[in-house]
Amino acid sequence: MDIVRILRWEAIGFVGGLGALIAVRMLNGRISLRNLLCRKDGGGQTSPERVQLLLSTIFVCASYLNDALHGSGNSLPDVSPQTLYLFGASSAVYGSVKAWTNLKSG
Amino acid sequence: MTTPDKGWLTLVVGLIVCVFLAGVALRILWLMWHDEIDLSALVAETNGDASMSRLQLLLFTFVIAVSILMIVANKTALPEVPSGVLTLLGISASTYAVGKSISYSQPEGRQKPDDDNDPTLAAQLGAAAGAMAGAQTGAQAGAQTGAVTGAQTGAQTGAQAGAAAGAAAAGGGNPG
Repeated sequence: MDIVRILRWEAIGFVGGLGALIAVRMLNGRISLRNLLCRKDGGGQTSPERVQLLLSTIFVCASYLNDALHGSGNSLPDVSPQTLYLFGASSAVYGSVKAWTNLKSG
Repeated sequence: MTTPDKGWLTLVVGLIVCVFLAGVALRILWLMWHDEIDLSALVAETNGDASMSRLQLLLFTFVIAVSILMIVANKTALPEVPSGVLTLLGISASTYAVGKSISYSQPEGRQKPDDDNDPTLAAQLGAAAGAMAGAQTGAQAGAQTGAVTGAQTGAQTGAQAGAAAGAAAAGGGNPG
């Protein structure tokens, strides 16, 4: 009986189950995603900086998972500097617009 | 002289650890599934709206966890975490912290969704206020005929009246 193999499958089952549970709850609305892409000023308009941050997040996640799946399997794949610049710029845009909106309304 | 075989001991301890960890994992998933661990506000801010930075941090955490699991499934040692991954997580966590500090700098960001319209809270506040007022009035009125009885009667009457007034006020403030 291989203890390491059992532990491995337990870890995979737990992370997989947790991920599936959270995904299902998000899809059926029991984890609230209300106003995720809307401005917080009460107008209810879609916020471009939120949309671009969501897109860049999904892109970085998908790209990293792809690298991890097709990598050597011996170490975690590194993130390229270009991806880091892209993601940093996207986050900076989001933070700046949020701060500016807050400053204007405040 | 022969050395004692400790293989069975390793196996028993390993199995105990496996069973314990499986029990903890199943219990956590079970509680989440039955809403005893509430996930409804997992990515929500204090005011009830979904938070982009929380969602982002959740996604990155899962992606890194799945990647590490895939590597650990092939070999038994933990992999080294590259600096690029740490930088990525640092950017995400910084975005979260900055967004949170901006949100919390405004009163709207700290306000809970039902602070103004919670009928239970209003009834409780009304009952408490009514009980205090009733107890004072009852104590004064009952000072001549029996302070203890007067205070108890006044507190009960005041609590009922206060609860009714609080519930009515909450109903008027929350038409939806």
